[in-house]
Parts: sequence; structure tokens; C-alpha cells
Amino acid sequence: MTYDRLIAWLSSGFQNQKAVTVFCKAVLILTLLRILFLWNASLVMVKYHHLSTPRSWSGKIMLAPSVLAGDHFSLVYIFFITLLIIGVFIRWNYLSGAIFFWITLNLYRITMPLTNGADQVQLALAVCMIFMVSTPYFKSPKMMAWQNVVFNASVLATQLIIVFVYFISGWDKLMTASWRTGDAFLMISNLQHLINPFFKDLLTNSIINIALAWITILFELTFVVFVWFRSTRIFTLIAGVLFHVTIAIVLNLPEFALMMSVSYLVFLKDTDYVFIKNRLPESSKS
Amino acid sequence: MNSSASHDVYIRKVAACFAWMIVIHVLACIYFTVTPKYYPLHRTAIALLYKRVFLIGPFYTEHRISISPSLYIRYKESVGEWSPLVDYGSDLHRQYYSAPWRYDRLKQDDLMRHFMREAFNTKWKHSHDPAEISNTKQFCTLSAFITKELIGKENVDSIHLIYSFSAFSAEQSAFKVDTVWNITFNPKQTCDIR
Repeated sequence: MTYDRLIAWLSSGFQNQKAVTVFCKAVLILTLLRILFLWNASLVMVKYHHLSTPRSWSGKIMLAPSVLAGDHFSLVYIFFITLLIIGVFIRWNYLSGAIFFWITLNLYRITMPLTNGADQVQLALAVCMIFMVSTPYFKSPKMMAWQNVVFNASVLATQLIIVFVYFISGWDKLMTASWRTGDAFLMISNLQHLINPFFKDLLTNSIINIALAWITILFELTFVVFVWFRSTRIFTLIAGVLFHVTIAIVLNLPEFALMMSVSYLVFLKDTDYVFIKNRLPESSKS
Repeated sequence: MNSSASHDVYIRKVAACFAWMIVIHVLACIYFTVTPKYYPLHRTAIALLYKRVFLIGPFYTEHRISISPSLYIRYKESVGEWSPLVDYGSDLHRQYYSAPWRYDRLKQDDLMRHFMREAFNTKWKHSHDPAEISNTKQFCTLSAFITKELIGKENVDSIHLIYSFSAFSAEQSAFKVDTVWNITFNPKQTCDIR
């Protein structure tokens, strides 16, 4: 994308409004599911993970739910669930974006010892989602211009965050000898807290390990390029979903797989949904 | 110039500001990814912000996958004998495999390993005095968690922990197991954190 094309893309109306709305709602639903599935573990955790009260008033307001969760865990989680359900059904706006970020920040603080890549990705998405509002908010044309450009920029920033998740991981693997030789998979087979025992023996074969290591490196580095081109975008995203489903099964990380798969929705265009809709049977369209 | 044209000029100016921000962001991401950690800017607040929010990863780095920690626990009640050594982490994983919707079981294992790691790290700070270790907040948290959440019995008199690391040796292409902490304590004599 050249500089002029980038400016044209940023300034020419709200890009892929419907697809972005679907993305925002999907992230909300996933957060809701994560809260429900991790309820028991979070409940155990808050008993032992004491959260201090921030000193500043702004900190107290921002992080109040995480502090309250220590003694009123269920109340705080029910409050979050209620807000998320409302967020799913209303039109995405700046307030719902800000509230979602507030919920994500507090969940991140409450579950700090249990956080993983999925939480980090969610936090980054929540920051960008605040600005993904395509409903006209301002009367002044100048302010509308800002809203339009900020919307498109936040979508692009989200896409870049996802792309760089792969780039930094792929680059690190490429620079590490144990990944290039496939020994990394042998190490992974030894991680009792991660590996699914069903696949443990498979990862002791050196030829399979070299093949898997290079497939991983190539996928992560090529994702960075291929996701931007119309002809390769959908195939790249499908490959990404398969990649994460495999990780979810082999390494017991369903949360991260779901978060990354949902984040792919930000790469879809409105036309993709039209394409899917046109191919659905008549009965399911209605 | 009509109002539509002036609006176009304005929106392109705003877009240009954001385009530059995005270009700088991409360059910063590339810089923090490809340059070694001792290079300038890696220890600044900007780098910290990037590594927390905008530049997530890398995952499965060598130092994170090269060591597999295991925790074995046995206990003795006031009356009776020592229980067999149990790997509660493996138990929690087995529960997850038999019911994959119980994802919280895996998280409970994560939590146990987190508390163990925290307590183990304090060991090095207080290695001269075992009594001091058992009074640290981290050890008390571990003790309370094991007693209440894993063992789940009231009259536990002694707990024996064996913490071991299984590490990969690239030269020998084999795993080497080391017991890094072997400790027996009375949970009732460690502090009450809540």
C-alpha cells in the first residue's frame, strides 16, 4: 500500500462498517464466554491474589471492579456479564467501546496470574475497538472527518497488531537454533503442563519436528504478507484458523486459538459477507 | 474552492496525520522485533508500552519451552501415614481431557504453577534461612492454596513438596531432570494471608 493509497483508504468513508461491527460483537461474545468458562478458576484465584487499591482517584475509578472482586467476586462478574450482553445487542458506540475497554482492563487485573496471550490480544483489541464507531456522532463536517479517519486508522491498527503477533513470533523462531533444527518441538513434547499426551510421542520424531518447525516459521512469516492481498487473504485466514485449532488441540490452548480466530474477522470485508450470504441456501438466509 | 473540495482537503490532511502515525508505528514494531534487546530504546517507556499493548509476543520462545517444571505433593494428617506423592497438575489435565468444557481445570494448574514459581523465586532471596522462606507472602499463598484447594482437608499436619525441572540439553539431545526444591513443612505454622 503506497502512501497515497493509504491516505485515500483512510479518508474515503467508513471502510467495511458491517464487517467491523461483526468483529466488535464477536469479541464481546468471546469475552462473555471466557468469563463464564473461567468463573471457577477466577473465583479460586481472587481468594489468593490480593489486589491493592490504586492511590489516585482516576485509578480508583478505573480499577474499582478489580478491587471489589476480592470480596464481591460474583457481583462484579454478573455486572460485567450484564454489560457485555447489553453491548452485544446495542449499536456499537464510543460509550460501549470505552466500557468494554474498562471491563477488559479490570478482567486483566483480576486474572493477572492466569493471563496468557489471549488476554494480551484482547486488551490490545479493546483499545482499538473504542474508536471503531461508524454511526455518525458529530454534526460538524470537520469532526465527522476525524471520526471517519480515526475509525479507519483503528481498524488498520488492529490488523497491524495481529500481523505483528505473527511477525515477532516468526522472526524469533527464525533466529533461534532450536526452532530451525526442530528441537523446539521435542522441548514442547516435554512440557507436561501444555502438551496433550496423545501427541507427545509424535513430537519425538526428528523429521516430523523439522517439518512442523518450518511450517510454523513459514506460516507466521508469510501471514504478514499474504493477508493483505485480495487473492490470498481468505486462504491465509483459513490456514490461520487451522493453525490455531491445531495448537488448541495439541497444546491445550483453546482460549488463544479462539481469540486469534475471532481477531481474523477484522480482516474481512463487507463484500465477503455478501459473498457468503449469496452462497447460503435460501432457507438459511431468511 | 467550494465547501466539498475544502472538506476533501481537510479530511486528507487528517488522514495524512494518521498515515504518518501508522508508518511510524510499523517502523517501531519492526525495530523492536528485529533489533537485539540491548539496542537503544529497548528499555524506554515507549518500548514497554509497545511490548505490553501493540507488539504482542513472541510466543514459545526457547527459554519458555526449554524447562518443564513439575510439582509433586504428599501430605500427612495429624493421625495417619503419608499419602502417596501426587502430581496434581497431571490430575487437573486428566480432568480437562475427560471434560474439555472444564477449561478452568487447566487454569487451576496454571495458578498452582504460578504460586509455586513465585514461592521458588523467593527461596533464592532467603536461602540462608528456611524459617524466613516459610513466612514470606509467596510461600504462605502456596501453602494455603495447596492445603485448601488441592488437598482439601482440615487436619493436614505436614506437607512434602518436590519441585523438579526437566530441561532439554541440545548437546546430548536428551532431557535431564533436577530436583530443585525438596521441602517439608507444617501448613498450620505458616502465616495466614487472608
